[in-house]
Amino acid sequence: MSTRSGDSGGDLVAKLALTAVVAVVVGVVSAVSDVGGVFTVVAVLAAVAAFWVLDAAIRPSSDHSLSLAPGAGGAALASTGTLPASVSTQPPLRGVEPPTVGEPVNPGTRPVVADKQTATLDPSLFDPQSVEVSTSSQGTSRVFSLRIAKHGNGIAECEDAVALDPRRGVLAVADGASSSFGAGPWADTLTKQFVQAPPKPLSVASFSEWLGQARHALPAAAGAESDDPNGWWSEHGARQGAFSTIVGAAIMTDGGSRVATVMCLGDSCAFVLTGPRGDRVVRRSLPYEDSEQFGSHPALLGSMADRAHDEPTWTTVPTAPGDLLVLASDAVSEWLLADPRRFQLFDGDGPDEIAGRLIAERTDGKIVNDDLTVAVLELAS
Amino acid sequence: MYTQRVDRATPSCLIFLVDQSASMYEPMAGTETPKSVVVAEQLNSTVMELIQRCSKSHTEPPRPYFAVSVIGYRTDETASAVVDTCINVPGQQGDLAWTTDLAQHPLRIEDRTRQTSDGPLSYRMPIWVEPLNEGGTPMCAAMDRAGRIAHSWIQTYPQSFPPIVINLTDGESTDGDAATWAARLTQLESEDGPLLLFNIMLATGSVLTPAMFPNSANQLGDQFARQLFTMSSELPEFMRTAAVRQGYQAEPGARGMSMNADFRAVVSFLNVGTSVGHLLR
Repeated sequence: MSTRSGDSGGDLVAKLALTAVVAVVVGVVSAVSDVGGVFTVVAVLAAVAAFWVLDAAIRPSSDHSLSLAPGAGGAALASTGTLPASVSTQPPLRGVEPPTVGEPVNPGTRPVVADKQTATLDPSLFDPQSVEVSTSSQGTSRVFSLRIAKHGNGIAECEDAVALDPRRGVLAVADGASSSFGAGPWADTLTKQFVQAPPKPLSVASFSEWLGQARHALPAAAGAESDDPNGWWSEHGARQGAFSTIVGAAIMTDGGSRVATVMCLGDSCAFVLTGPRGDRVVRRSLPYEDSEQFGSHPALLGSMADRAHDEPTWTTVPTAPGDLLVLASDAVSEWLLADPRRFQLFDGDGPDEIAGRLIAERTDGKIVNDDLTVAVLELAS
Repeated sequence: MYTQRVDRATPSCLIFLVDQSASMYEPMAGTETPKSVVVAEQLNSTVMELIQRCSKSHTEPPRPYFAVSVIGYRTDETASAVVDTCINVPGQQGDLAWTTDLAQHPLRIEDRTRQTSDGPLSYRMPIWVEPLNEGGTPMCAAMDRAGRIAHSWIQTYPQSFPPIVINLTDGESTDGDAATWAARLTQLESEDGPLLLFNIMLATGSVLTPAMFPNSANQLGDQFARQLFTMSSELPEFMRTAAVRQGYQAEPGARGMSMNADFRAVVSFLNVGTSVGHLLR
């Protein structure tokens, strides 16, 4: 069996549940305080209203000129109908507003999890134990991700991580450094932290604060020393902590158009593909544009508190309806950039086909034996 | 060539040949410590670092990404060659021990302290290799032994990065022409390239400038140094980069060779020669 995860999409459920809890608490308080029934009803309604106001207040403000596109592929986004002439026309990144706005156009619209059957994973091609596929859709757009463990490893040993929120159009891929301690959990924490609350673009202070939050969010057990008396080997690793690259992206609106705001640190890459299916071209490739640029010492983020860290690069890329935003870990990215025709990989129907091709290429030695991770978001036409 | 990553399916093999002749008791150049003690200490550190690279979390023992062999060579009182493994741990297969088994079975663990920029740091130092110095230098027999280990390894893991043999000595071979045996060794190859043989000649007495990673024999003084150059493999590009990062002018074509090696040279040489650990990604 391969493992799958779908977008949980529990915001509305959580809201309703919390509202119910608030109502019950208010009801109990009013019952034991011997007040009239009318007051109780008013109190419940007030509490519900207060909760929704509070909920809106604790979410980041949505009144930025550059804001997350509600529902990356949602109908609310105006289509410009034409592609920007070149990347040089990309809109300026106004201010340093955080891409942290998450209200969907219609809060009642939940992402549809299209849970494809695992049987489509061809066991003759690869060990399904080593693959994890996640698919969902938002409106008419496709969103999916896949992780493939190194040949010889199970998916639990995969040190790449991916997180995405199709509703808000935020996604991230991180590649934990294999020679560090607790790399998988650290990569996982970084991607979740990015999707949950990305740092403000171009703000050194915000990134530093964001990294601090990620380090705090990393479960302490992930990098702990072994309690085995013979566990000397865990001492150094636990002191050094884990290291990981990260690439994150958010679909945002700038005026009437959508842009992809991309944060890169290390050699995990982001690609914006444009044009009709079957004839797509790479509009932008970040941070590398050539397979020769990959080396053995990428920039990394460490998990230990108060350690110096590299700064990410931020880029804003214009998009057009139907564009694909692809994030990939280094081995996949290097393979893609070595031959641009390989981007046709994304003309297919979905993650299973892509997983099969990637594993076949890895078996052929065209992709190095590494964890392989891809996240794809297709902007609605 | 020399690009295969290190993982479970394609583990890496490291063979250290250690001169245990009587002269290894003499102090290392610039120190009062016997060369045999310096070498044992640095080998223990190297094995420790390899194991640390295989450690993923506290819940899982270090993975078997590296198979390590340490072969000592000396002669006994009858001048017969004594060539044998310096490491004996449970689970060892012949002369090779996996990092997983090495991690669990050091001879002992010592409590140490070292100075860091943040003050003294206490740490545990596992010991596998003890210093020894006795008799002559049967280097040819040692290379023969390394060849047997490497040949068997390549049969089992043909796709792996080729075996790396690092020879640490302080003198010339006393059992024949080592260059002949070195040539035999480097004829072995995996699908990723020929076996890599690196040689380090330890200096005794006054400190001389070590010749590190030369790319031409012309700049080397004596006949013996030139022979050592011939016996040593060219560094793969990532190792040459590692040498440059260590502060050495390793030009393209640089060989894995060091003459007149002092303490720092030994440390750097082992770092560069085992930088295959960086292929573990």
